[in-house]
Amino acid sequence: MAERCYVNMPRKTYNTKADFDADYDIGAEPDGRPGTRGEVRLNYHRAAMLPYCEKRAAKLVEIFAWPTSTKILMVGVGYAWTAEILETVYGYTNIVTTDTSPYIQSTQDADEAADYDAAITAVGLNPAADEGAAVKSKLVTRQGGVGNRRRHSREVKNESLSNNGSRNRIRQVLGDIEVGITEEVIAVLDDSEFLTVIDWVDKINAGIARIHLTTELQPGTPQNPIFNWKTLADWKALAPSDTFVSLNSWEVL
Amino acid sequence: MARKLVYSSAPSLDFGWRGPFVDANDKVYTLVVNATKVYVLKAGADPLVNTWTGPDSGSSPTGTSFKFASAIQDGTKIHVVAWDNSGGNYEYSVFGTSDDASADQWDATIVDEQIEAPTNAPTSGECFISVRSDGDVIVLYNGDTDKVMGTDYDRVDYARRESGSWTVGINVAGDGLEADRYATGIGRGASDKVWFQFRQASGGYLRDLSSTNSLGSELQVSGTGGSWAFLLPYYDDGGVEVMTTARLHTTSDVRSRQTRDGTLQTELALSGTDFNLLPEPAIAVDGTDAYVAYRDDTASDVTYQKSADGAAWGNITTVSTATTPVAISANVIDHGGGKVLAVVYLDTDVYYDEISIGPFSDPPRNRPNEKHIHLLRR
Repeated sequence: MAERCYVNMPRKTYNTKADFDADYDIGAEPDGRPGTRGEVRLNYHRAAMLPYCEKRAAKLVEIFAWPTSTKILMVGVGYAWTAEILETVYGYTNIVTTDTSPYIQSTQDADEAADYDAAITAVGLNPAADEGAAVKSKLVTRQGGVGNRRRHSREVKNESLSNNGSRNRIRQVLGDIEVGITEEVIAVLDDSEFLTVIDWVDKINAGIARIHLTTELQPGTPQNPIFNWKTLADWKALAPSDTFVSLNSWEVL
Repeated sequence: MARKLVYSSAPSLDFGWRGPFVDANDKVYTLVVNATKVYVLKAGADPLVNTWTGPDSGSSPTGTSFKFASAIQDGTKIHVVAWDNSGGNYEYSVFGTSDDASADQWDATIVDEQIEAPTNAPTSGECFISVRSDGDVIVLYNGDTDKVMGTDYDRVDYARRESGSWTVGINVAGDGLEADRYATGIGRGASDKVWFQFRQASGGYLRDLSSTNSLGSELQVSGTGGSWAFLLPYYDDGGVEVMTTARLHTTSDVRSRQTRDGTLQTELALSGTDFNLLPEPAIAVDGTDAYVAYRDDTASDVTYQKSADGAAWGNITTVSTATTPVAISANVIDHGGGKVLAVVYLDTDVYYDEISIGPFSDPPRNRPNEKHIHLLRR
């Protein structure tokens, strides 16, 4: 998911739609389509990402089995879809979410309708009629709501945690946070930046359980080379006190 | 006695199931592919002695860089799916055998028919084909890729041809961020159900498609790694649908696993510990007997074992010592004087061999892996 300007020079920023589009390109018609046209594809959109976030939430609950009263901070959450599922499906009501991406902050209250229309038009269909309208209706269904809806369903705070003021504003929401989760954040940071960020998370509440959801290094698989891809073992060697969860295999280390 | 087939240039090493097949005139066929052509090769009266030819090769499927192809026989037709790596296009073609009205001709219209050209080409183009009793065609293939957080993930999709029109890109495996995902085989089961076989980082999986096109749940049949036989052969065991997979795990470990009416059975190891890692094993059934052909590691021979209705695998028997095969395809066919285990294998050439395994089937058949029964001429 989205990455975030925690530090001055992350390897990659997600400040604009183009930043997201470059790293998210997802087929949006898993039920198939006529062979006479191309597939409608989306980027970092609710209709495309929700299935992944549903799985993330389910796995988090399965792996850690926290009490639903657990106070959780999630950082780098994009539009906070994983947090949304944790809350609405699994009953975790004490979650605060942050993401400092200007694109996320400026669009979280907007709907995705225009992007759906553009993706449908790109394969030669009219999103307002016939097959194009049917495709759009499926996308609306896949985003989990009837009609056009906001990208997020809960507030995503614009907090970097990099200073006492920012951390205090987070504390004011829930008090003593018990679990701090980064969601697809660490691979965009250099090793030193990563260590800085986990220090900021720790300062929220000393001894907080720090958990990192990350895509792993995938040998033989095309991966954006600008990222700091590592295996779980390599991350663990860098921060032995932290817990790392692979979004690929769900291995926990 | 191995027979080296007539062939114009080096075949592609990546290929799926290719029979061999037999028609009602007792003619034996197989599929070969090179970079620019897909050929159906046909044997003379005795496929171990007589020349093999490539009928109607002037009309055969053509491409720029074929990397994978599979075939299935249905009645008098051989249905072919091929992946042309140049442009990443999956194509469908049909060949009529000698007992077909076309008599050894490629179809007049269904040659190089595009199934899908994925927008973002897959890492590799494994593709497999099945035909239902109503003529609908099902193709399992590596579809478009999805990029999430700067990482490309291959999908496994299926396509369906009904009344001449394709529906494509139907996702079979892709929910999740697993690497190393690709299609590994297909088989038609009972009641026009089609079984899909694929692998991903977490292991090997099966998933069934009902006759009404409803996808079943994923069944994990193995752990990580390994390579699978391209065909899931089906047999009926007293009304129970039995599908059998074969998986080469290590040089000392090949295992089969059955589903019975969709319920996974215990894995069964083949006899011995002498298996080569390169070619995928090939599996075929005859009634309730299953055969797995493979390359042994010590002598590099083509070898097979037999299991009777899920029982322990039996003696290790050599099929051929002619060459060091890099790919093997096997089928049980009624041919010549009886029933044979027919094997096509290749190095830089293509070879054919057959082992007599008994009298003609009762009732006789010539449509392997299909429920259609056709009487052979005697």
